[in-house]
Amino acid sequence: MAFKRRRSSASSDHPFTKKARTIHPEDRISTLSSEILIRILHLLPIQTLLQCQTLSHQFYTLAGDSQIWKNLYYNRFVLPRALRIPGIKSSQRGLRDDALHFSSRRSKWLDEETLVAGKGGRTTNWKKQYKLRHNWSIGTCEVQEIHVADRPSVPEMLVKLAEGVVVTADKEEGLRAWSLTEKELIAKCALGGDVVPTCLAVEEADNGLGVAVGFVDGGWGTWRLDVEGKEFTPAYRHPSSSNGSLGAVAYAHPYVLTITDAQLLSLYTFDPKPASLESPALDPTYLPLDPEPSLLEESITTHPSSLNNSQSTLLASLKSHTSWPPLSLSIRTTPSTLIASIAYSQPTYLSGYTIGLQELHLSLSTGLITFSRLASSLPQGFSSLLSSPSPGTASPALDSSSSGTTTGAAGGREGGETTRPTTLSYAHPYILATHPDNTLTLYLCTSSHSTLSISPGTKLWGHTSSVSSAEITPRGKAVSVSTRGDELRVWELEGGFGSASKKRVLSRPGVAKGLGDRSVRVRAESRVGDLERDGVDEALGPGLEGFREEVEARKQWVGFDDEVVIVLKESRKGTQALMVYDFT
Amino acid sequence: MSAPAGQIILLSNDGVQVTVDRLVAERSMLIKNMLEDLGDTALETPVPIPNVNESVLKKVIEWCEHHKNDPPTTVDDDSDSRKKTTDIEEWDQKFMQVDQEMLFEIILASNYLDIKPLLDVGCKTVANMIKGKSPEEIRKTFNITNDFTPEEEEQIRRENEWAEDR
Repeated sequence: MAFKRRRSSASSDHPFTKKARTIHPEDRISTLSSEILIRILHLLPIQTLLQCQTLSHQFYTLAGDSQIWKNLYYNRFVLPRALRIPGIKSSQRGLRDDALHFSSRRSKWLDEETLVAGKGGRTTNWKKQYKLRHNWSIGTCEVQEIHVADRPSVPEMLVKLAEGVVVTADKEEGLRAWSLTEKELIAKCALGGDVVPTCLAVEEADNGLGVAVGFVDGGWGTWRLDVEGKEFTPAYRHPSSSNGSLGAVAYAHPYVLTITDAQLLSLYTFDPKPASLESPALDPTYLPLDPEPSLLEESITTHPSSLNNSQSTLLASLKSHTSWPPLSLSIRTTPSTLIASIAYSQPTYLSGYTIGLQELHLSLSTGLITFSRLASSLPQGFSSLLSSPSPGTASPALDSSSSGTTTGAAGGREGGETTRPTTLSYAHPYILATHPDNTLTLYLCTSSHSTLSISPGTKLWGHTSSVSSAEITPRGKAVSVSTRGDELRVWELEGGFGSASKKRVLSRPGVAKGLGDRSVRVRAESRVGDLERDGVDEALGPGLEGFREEVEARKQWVGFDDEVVIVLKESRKGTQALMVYDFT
Repeated sequence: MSAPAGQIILLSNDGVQVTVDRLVAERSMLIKNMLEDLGDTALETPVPIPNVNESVLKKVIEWCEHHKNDPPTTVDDDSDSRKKTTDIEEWDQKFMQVDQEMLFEIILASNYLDIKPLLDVGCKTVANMIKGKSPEEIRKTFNITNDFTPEEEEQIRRENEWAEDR
């Protein structure tokens, strides 16, 4: 016997002989090497795997091993997406058949390489990531509150979320930044002067955040937030202008895009390079090449604006007569081009509203507009059954010249919005509009060298009261919130969209079901009981009891990142708080 | 003493010589690579297998005999690409009907000798023993000592609560 136990004695016959004796002499499985045990645990379903964590300290560590969870994560969350993307399989032809099988080095991780590489040198905790995605998929989270103001602010407080930091701007308190990890205020600075902020944009920069704020007097400013150093630094202030209050702003350093309430769109840059080539830009022949009478008419040519500490140059300015708020501005860059986009709602005769999108393409090397183009969606419910059997439904790409046809034909629509969307969220290639009639509409934009088009809207059902705000990411994950009833829904809208919208033409109920299934209602769990039992002091901010009054609360804004959803809530008493729905 | 042509002598750690066909022994990547490196000189002396005793060695050779005509496993440096299933073919199931001591010795021997398919069968057998059991039953099956305090156990249970409603 002593002989046969050779291996176990080799590993456990160290000075702690007492401990070795307390282990049952025949606990042979625990003496296997970690490598072999992980091989075994690899073969177990998740439930059993988690059970194994409760066996002993050794098994707790082994069954939580990232190698195992990375594989599980891949198979549940990455592979199904990969298989949905058309062409990904055929592009693998000639390579190994199992290119889509899990393998830590060879697998296609789509846009989740950051996890694989490890963010900022940290190694990814795959069990944690798996749990996070699992909670999103079933809508489980914990809710916490950060108190931000005692009184309602007029106008509304502006909020944005980026990299775990919430930035708020209002007249009373100026610019503030709140950390979500610490659930507290980390930086604060005055806006300067007695100005009312009307719009806010935040961009993720190398070592902090870039913040742009637009004001009611037409001026705007940028700040840098050093998250580590917990400090705002004013970067630039653009003087007020006679063009009126700014309605929206987008910021992607060194570019700033603003639009006034009177629909005057302006694009600025801090980059001195294009500025040196600025004089040719003054030549009207370089301005938008749109051959058709554009909905957005060019009204002002470029002029250098006055500067404070750095220079901003106006690259382009356009005036629109037909775009209505809500608006959504965005700036994105390709290696050679800067694309400034404006998504807007557009009234159509007889039928209410539809969504329009204009893109301005600028060459990054010269800073000149190369061209500008427009697209608008066919009104919701537009079908060829009543009016024309035109291929319009199949290819809804409209240049401005044919937009008249759209509005004319729109009489044939059934139902749909007669009201203006309440908010628009544009993250290429998705535009998500919220409506007071408990629905959302999703549009898919296609932007290539030659064409820009927007698909017909697809209605999303699920909410039981008016949808007040929604946000979507380029990956098609969206979060929406109802004004009343404390209803938060998470949507996975990526993939299968094309086929779903095709089905819509054939049978609407089918789609209603199909897309309805894509959202999950978030079940916020207030863990008061647990916390008390543990005696764990998680800085909850004032008033978890405030959670109960939420039914009465007005919710105004929603934003989210990988781990949390933030909702700005105003209670009946007028206090304002950030609700943090934590999915970790 | 040299082995007959096409055969190789293995020496278990308890000093027993076992003669096997070279083809059978080459199911072990360890032996295969060794023979490739040393050439036929290796055939002339018994090859010591220091980590494996006679009874286990014979059991492993029995498996290799049965599977000697299997297609060679692709050299896969990435062990994660294994298919995640615990199905075991019938012969292997019968083969693995041994006491736990032998089962773990086979796993260790196949790991040492680098016989991946046998290692997989062994791991699957253990996985099947774990599946569908409560933690207490698993501990009992393998005589695992619970070294958690009740508080720690409760904490882990809560940590893993998220997966329960699936």
